Amino acid sequence: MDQQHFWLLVSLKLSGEATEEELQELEALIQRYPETGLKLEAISGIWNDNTPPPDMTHLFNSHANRLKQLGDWTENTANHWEETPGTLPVMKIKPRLAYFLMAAGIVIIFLVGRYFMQESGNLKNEELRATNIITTQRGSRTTVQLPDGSKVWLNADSRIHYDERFKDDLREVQLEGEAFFDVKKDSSRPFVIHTSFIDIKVLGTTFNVKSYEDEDATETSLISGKVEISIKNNPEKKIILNPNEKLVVKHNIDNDAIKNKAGDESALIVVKALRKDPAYKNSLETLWIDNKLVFDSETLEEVCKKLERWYNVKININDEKMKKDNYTAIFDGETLLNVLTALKMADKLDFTIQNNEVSIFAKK
Amino acid sequence: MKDQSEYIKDLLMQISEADDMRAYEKFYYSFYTPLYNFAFSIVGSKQQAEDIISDVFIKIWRFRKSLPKVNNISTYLYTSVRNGAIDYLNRKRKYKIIHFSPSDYKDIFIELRNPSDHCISTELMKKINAAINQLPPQCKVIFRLVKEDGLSYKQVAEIMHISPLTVRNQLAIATRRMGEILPEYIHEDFSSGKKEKV
Repeated sequence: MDQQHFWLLVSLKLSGEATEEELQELEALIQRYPETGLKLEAISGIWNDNTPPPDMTHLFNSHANRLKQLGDWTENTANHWEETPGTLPVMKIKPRLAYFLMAAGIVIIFLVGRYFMQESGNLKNEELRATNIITTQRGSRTTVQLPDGSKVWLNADSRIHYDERFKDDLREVQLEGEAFFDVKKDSSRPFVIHTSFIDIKVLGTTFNVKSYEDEDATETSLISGKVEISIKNNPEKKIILNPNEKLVVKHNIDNDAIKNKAGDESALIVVKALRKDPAYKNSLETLWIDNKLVFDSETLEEVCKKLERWYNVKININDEKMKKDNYTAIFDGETLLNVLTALKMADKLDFTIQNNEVSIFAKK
Repeated sequence: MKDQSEYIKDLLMQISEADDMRAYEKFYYSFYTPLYNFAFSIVGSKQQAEDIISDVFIKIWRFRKSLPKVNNISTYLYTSVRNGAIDYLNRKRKYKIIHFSPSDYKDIFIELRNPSDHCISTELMKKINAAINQLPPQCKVIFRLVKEDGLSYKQVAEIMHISPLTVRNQLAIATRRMGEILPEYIHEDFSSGKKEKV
């Protein structure tokens, strides 16, 4: 019997998430292997025996006191209290609190003041709205599903946020770093991604956005569907991408240079074709979501930035001249040591690793 | 919390429409422990976790008139606690952008109780607890949110910013870890406690 599958079914049953078919499957397994039935029973026993909650009256009392100190317990609510027979112990604390206030007035004022200072800072635009933030550290990547069913792959050292309004008429997210989006089609609610340099408006598409502030360009690579991109410094300019195209927007935009024609490498806004390697189905721009580390004719400086994010290390290049050397390679689930060793084989560099720091220097 | 949702809805209605502090107190008791545990698994401090919960409940009282508009109150509460906890970490670390990832959950201690209607030996229960507590922190947080707090996979996914599939897989891992501790022929332990092999 497949143990892993059996316990998956058990966990689904216990958490109440099992479908009808899964329950039947579990039932069939138990009939076939009767000893598993007893195991299920034992685990169910443990699962359903929850610790009784402790007495929390004192906690609520101190919380209610705090509410009162903050002035949120108005006379109205207080009256409401007194009208109700058998009120909570909170009421009885009232005279004691007054005494306490006299005795320790300064402290209370200080605390209240501190709270209001925090209030004005933190809860300024507060309604019942919670901001959701998804972040990845260096060295880790993740996938998330947004409330509308769209899927997002988040590369290392990246961050995406959206608030509760997301579900309403406009689906808006903020992105720092790199993410691959598979946006669920919904023509009535456009999906908009804001980055520091561009805004991207889509309906239902799959595409990749790379917008690290410490790199010199923001790249949008379109796999399928259609996207409309507007550039923050030049809002009138809207660019529509077709599948298998990418838009590269250089970060040090100045308006004169925008007049340069697209296709010119020196232009600040360029549309290019996506890069393919015959060995891989997906374009090089999106291979990272399959856990592949790609250097596509990139300078050593760019390579090291990627390595720093991918492996969560610090890399120093000790020779200015080497920084512009070009490297092309695809690594599939390799360790940092293997990647560096492979780069070393190009015969231009050597390296040392100490703790989380890599030093790269010219080969002698 | 699944079976209490009607009860909670009634409480919210009373809080919102009648400024009913007693309903507010009951509401507080219904959520305090799970929210406290969740806050603790992020900030790792009793005092901070308590303050964060208190802030969240203060907000609930202040915005009581809008409560009926909240779709799913428990998801809302957990998300607020999570945000409060991250705010606290932000202030503590003195820089704004916080990279909160699954590996940042604090290691918490889970104590499963010996079920009253089964005779699993104390020894065995100790082993099961030890196995559960060796799981990675994120897995334990998921386990507690589903098992103790009765949240759905979808809710846990939303609150923790992970995919429902991760919740499903992690929970299967936790369950298997408990299950593997059980002896191959478990009925011996159950029926008589004797140590014969069949």
